[in-house]
Amino acid sequence: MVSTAQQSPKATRRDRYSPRGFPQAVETLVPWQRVAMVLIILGLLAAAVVDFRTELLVLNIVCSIFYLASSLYRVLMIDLSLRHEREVTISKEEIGEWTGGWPSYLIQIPMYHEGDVLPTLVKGLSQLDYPKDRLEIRLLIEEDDPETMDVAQALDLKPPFVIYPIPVSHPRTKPKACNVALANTDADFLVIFDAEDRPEKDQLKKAVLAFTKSPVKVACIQAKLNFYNPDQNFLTRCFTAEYATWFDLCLPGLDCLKAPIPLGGTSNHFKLDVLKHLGGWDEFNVTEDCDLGLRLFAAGWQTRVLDSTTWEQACPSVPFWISQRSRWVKGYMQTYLVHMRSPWSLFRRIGLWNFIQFQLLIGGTPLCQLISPFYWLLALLWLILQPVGLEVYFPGPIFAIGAVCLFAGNFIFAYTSGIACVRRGFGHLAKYGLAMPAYWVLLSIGAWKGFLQLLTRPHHWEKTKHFSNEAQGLEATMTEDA
Amino acid sequence: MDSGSAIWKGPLEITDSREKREAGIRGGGWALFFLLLVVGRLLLPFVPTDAGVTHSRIVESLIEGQNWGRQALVGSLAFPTLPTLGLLVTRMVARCWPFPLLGIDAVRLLVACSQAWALMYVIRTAKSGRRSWLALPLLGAFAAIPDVRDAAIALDPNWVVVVPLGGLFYHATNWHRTNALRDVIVCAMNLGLLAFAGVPGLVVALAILAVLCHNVRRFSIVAKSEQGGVKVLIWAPFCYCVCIWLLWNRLVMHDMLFGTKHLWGTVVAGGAEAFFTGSVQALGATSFVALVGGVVLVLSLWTDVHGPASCLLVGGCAAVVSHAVLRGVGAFAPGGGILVLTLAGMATALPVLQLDWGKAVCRRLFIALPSVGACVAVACFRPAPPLSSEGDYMLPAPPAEAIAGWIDRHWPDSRVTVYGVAAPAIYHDLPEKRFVAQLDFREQDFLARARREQIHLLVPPRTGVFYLIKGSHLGEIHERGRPWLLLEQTWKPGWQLWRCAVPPEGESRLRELE
Repeated sequence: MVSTAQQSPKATRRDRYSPRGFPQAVETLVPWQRVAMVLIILGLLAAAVVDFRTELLVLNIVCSIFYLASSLYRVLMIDLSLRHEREVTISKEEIGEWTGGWPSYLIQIPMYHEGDVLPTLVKGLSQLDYPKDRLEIRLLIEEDDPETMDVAQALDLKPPFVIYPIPVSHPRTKPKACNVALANTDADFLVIFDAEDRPEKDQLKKAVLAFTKSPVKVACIQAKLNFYNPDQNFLTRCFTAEYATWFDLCLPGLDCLKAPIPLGGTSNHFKLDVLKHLGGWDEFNVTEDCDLGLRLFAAGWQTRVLDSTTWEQACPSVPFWISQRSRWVKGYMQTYLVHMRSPWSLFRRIGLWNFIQFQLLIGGTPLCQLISPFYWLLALLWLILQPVGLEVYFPGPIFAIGAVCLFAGNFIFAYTSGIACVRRGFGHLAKYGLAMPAYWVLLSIGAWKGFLQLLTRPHHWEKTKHFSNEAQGLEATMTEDA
Repeated sequence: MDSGSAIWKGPLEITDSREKREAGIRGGGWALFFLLLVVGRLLLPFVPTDAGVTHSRIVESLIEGQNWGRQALVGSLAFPTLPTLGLLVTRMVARCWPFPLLGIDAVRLLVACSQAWALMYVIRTAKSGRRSWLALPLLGAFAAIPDVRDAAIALDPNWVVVVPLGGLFYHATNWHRTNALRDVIVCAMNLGLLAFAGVPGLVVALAILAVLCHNVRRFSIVAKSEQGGVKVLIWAPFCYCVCIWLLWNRLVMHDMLFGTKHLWGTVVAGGAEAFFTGSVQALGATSFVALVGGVVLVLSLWTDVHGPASCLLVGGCAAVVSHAVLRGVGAFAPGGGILVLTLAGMATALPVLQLDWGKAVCRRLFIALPSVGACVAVACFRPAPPLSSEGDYMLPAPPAEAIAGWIDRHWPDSRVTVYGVAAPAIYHDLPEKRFVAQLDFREQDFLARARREQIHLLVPPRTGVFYLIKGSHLGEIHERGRPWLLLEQTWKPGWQLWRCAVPPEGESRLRELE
């Protein structure tokens, strides 16, 4: 939310834990991780001096096996989601027939320099189908953001809208604002939306009924996200395909596997008492939602996926898209490092299979995006120039693994994007799903930017830029919805 | 409402675990059944085929990293990629315990697993558990046809194509019933795999893909706005597989269209009379078996199973026609008969396992029964060459020792070059001490090698199996030779051993005369 960069505070041993009791990303690496990292780098350098060919061979073997495992895991996840309908589906009839009354709901909308979208946001949220006396919509506006504050005051908002000023303090992040507002509420449920979000009108009611239908262990319901401007350009088409893959195939697949679910940025519906018990969000983590999803899981709570969509704006500009992506990848790496501060403790809490899934999903996703460019270059080199001597690094079985990943793995990933588009109702985008390899190049650029930022500016929040056509898109969606 | 604070406490019972347990038991049961089928099939007899030997040799070469293995894997439509890859995987499995102890080789395991897998797919399509038992007597009746029986016991790696066909059958049936997106995707994937199964596989896949797309539109399985997307999903795996096969040809053979050139050369070279005779003979070989399925399928088009029936009918027709055309032009394509037999078998199984017999519309199927019976009877006694014979193509060849012995009399350091897929498979020499294998004959490469070492050239008989009779270098050499080749020896029925007269660099033939 807040784009102000600041230096990472000097963390003491006590700072590594939030005052609310969970490990936080105030520092990227704890001492033992730093030592391990230095040892690994020194080991690699020493091995390169002694015999760099063998070192490259070993690295290639490790990466290839990891790549294959990640690919197989993703295929399993997607196949499961196609086999079983795991999303919680609530019909209009069920909502109509519900006589149990509606619990109190708190909506938090963190904002920063987003005055221009505020009128549309208010208009959209006013149409939410939920009893107004059971609802509170908090606009979390930073005190040093007079622009947004002025617009909000000029709108003369009535309940359930409440302007909630956030005092200026560090860190300047979205989770910090959410945590501040979390303290003063006694609602039953809470949901976070972004300023440009357009949730389906009955999403809150669906979420409530989804909680009632789910086991008591379910503490979070994640609604699906997608874009209202998919056809703007090639980037938004591919971005839509990627979102559809994640929210319509991967998350239900993770749900089938009973795996830890990294929450999406918005539209996470929480049982408020559980959220408070867990201590809220980590304000130092730039993907606080992913971290919270893991903490929920480690504490024994489950997350389910709701068949209701919140419509957002797909970033149509490559530089801003890369910035947004770099934050996500950086956050994944932060989350991975925070949870791996004591691997044994994590292993004991979540068990072997979930520990492996954590490695493949949270550790594996950024790692694959980081190493992919090297393998693409290698593949291109092999396809075009066919250099002599490359085969030394690809002995029989590793060549087979590499070939499977190159020819089958890449196609399956692109193909599943096409499947996701059809499943989501964007059938015309299926062919763009197949063009995803071009988009993956951008993904890797974002990943590298995120990785380098993790080393230099770990807590810098690359704010997602919203573009001028969003109001039009939002209006269009609202009209369709109506 | 006063307060809803307690409503989210939710049900305490988790129903998932019971479903999961049941699914686990069901999955385990099927796995056990598959294992029993494989063991049962392994206990039944097998008859070795030349196709089995050739694919095994390709796999051995691949494992040893020999270039010919890589070339044969991608560069020949007659010995397609899918059976070789299937055999490669099975060979890895066959090396694991307990297969070496039991003496089960890779080809046996591949054939047994493929047949068992396909059969399991067919059984699983049954509308009810009780109905699934009907698959076994049906199989028995089908096995009464000598062609089917002979083909079923052939140790031919081309049997692997029945796995994607079985998958297609099962998922096409499911798709028709449930409209689930996953089923159409798996159908498309299976058809994509058929792109690696040679010309018959390509033709069958193309035909069925067209029917699947037609069915999407005709039966409005998805909303009109989504039909375009579904069609992209249906075609994508097949197109991708064709593209990567072309890419592999570019990488390994340095010519994207290398694999298709042999077939094209055969088509161009063939005469009209030979085409007519060959295709009629091939149609005679397949027609009665195909009729068994065809009659049932045509009548099934007006029943509950019209979706999968139309796929199988068009696929079966494509298989029969491609088989006949390939035979007509004299192209060599082992495995085409297996496709015909499998599609016919599945066609017969479809109404038996799937149809709601009580419905009036199904009564017409009973009219079909006598015609099916007649077809089976004719298929049992018809005077046509058996389909299973297509896996045997190798002619009597001089033993490798005889060739080596002949050369050793004057040229003990010379090596024999053999070209193509079939001939190098006969003279399989992994260390390449006496025989050097290469898929394509290129005159410049041959002469360049001759300048490095003394070499001989073994040219197989002109049958159309080993090389193109017209328009190929080897065909011309067999007929007219070359100025730089000396014919040293011939063996029946037309094997020729030529010695290259180009002296290796730094060596003078005059020295021999001194």
